[in-house]
Amino acid sequence: MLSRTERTLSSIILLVVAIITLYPIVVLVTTAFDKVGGNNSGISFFKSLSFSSFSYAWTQGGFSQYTLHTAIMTVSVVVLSVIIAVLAAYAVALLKPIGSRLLFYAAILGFMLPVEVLVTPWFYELRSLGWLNTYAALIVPQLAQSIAFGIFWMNSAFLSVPKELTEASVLDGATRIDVFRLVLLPNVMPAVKTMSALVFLWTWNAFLLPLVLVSNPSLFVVTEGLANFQGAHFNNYGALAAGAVLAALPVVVVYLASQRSFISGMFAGSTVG
Amino acid sequence: MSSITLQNATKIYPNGFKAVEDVNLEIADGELMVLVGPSGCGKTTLMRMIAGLETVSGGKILIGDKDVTSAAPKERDVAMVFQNYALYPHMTIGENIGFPLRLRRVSKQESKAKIATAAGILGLTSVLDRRPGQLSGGQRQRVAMGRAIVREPAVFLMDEPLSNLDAKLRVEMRAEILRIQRRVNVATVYVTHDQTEAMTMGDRVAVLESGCLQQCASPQTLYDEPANLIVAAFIGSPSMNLFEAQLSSDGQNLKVGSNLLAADAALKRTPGLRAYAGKTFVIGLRPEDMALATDPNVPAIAGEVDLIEALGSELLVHFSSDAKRTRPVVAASADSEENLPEAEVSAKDGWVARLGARTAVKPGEQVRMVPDLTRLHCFDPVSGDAIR
Repeated sequence: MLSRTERTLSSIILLVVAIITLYPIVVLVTTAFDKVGGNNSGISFFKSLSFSSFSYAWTQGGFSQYTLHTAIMTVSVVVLSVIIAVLAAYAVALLKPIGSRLLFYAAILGFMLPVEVLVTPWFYELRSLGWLNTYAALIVPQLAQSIAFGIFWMNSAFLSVPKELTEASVLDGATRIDVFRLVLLPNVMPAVKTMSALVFLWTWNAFLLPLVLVSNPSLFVVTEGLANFQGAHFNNYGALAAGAVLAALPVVVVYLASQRSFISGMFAGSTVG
Repeated sequence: MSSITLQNATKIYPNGFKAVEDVNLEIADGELMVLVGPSGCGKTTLMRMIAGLETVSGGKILIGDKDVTSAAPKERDVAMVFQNYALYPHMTIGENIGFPLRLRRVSKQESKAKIATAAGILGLTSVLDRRPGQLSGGQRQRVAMGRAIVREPAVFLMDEPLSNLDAKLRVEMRAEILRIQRRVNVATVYVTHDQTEAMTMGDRVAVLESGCLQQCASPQTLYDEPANLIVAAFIGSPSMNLFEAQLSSDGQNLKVGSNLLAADAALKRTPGLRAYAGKTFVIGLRPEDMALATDPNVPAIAGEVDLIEALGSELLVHFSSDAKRTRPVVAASADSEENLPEAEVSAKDGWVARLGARTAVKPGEQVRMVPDLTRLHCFDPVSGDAIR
């Protein structure tokens, strides 16, 4: 049992941590709601409630375009990586064809290497293919990394499904596709959701790869756009804050929507291999 | 409705380990065959070979007249109940039971009727909409049975289906499984390491050890006429007292330790024993085939009482003598002690006698036990085979 003093003390510590964490977010959001052309000399703290900064960032600042590019990139990466990684992990974990262990270790290597190491080879690779400044430059490298992570993640999910379930379904008359579709997939669904959420967050927030591989502003994603916007509007705090909120909003929405499966999936994954 | 025939069924793993060796067995249609043996004896592997979940390294497996040795599991028409039930956690009980029908594209209406019938037999009607996680162990066990019977398989396989249940439920489910097996009346293979289950449920019991079939017979025959030391030691609880003995050269006396017993009754029951005159062999006595000597002149086995287990209806008297105890050489795995009959574990090197509850004996007391030599079992000390 915690004593009263201990409880008070822990509450105070939590409160301090919460304030430190939330203060910049509150400042960012309230600044974003400041009027354009108002007092733009610094941050604003609950001065006014106006959407003008948002509309400025969205139209003038080009965030409508950035968001569209980012959405196309992110949705493509999430959908493709989930399909490919789930099928590949199923094969690696349960069908075990020749060379599957090699594929598995290659996959681990693929997402263990920091993006800073990979960005230069990617640049030369994509330049030789003539893919710089295209959607392929935005999608392909991140897809590769996400598949690598996904194979690792889903491998442990498939291994955590009791072998007897597969065997029982085979005896019940299931074909290999039936086993995958009707027994395995529903059982690894929490891991699939977590993987989708993680890949979504990483892809949406990606900065270095798009920065190096896409230099044409007409194909900027939100992170690049925000950096660019910062350069152009270094003293327009309201617009900058609105841009940052717009960039972060989808991530927050996706996180909140998938929070439950996200956390349960994290724990499910953590107890396995 | 089919029989199962195993012809020299053999399983050798890639590392060279022989899990099952040359097993020949015929399970008639409607018969319940129990495969029993200590952990690692190959009983589950043999069942999985019948199911098609393990490849067969040698020999043949026939279901009915059809050779299924290399057929895929789904072509064998077998249903299996797994030790941990293997229910699909994301499906309701109704969907679990109906899963084999769904895979066979049985019409919704027909499938619903069959699920209802199975649920009725098993008392699951009220939980059809729940998920496996919300059910008790006994209910889950019944769902697994339901999934197996709903599609009317040719063969029924059960892999230690009661081992996850508590003792009371196990007794209840034992009777229930028997009832269902009689009702569906298909050839059934039941794997267990629990000899009580084996004895009470099996039409016949096959005892396996180190991948080899030791004996296959009715439970009573196994108990009364064990084919070798392994079966003698495994069947019965407390297990049979197995001790070294010598038959005098003239065939008159049986020497157990320093105790001399008259050999005529034993020779009458076991004529083959004459060949062992002047030699050492192994005698086996069931605990109930011994009685406390009342007459000090009657030949008996003398010893000192170590421990008394009072079970209410009877006493298990553990006593030690100067006779040398024998154990069959078995390649049981390290964790198999739990599977040994209790006397194997509790008594150090002593005998166990089953006496009436009101017998006046105390620990530390010197006793003389009179063996019923008309019930004596004799075994060759080298091969372990019963001497007939």
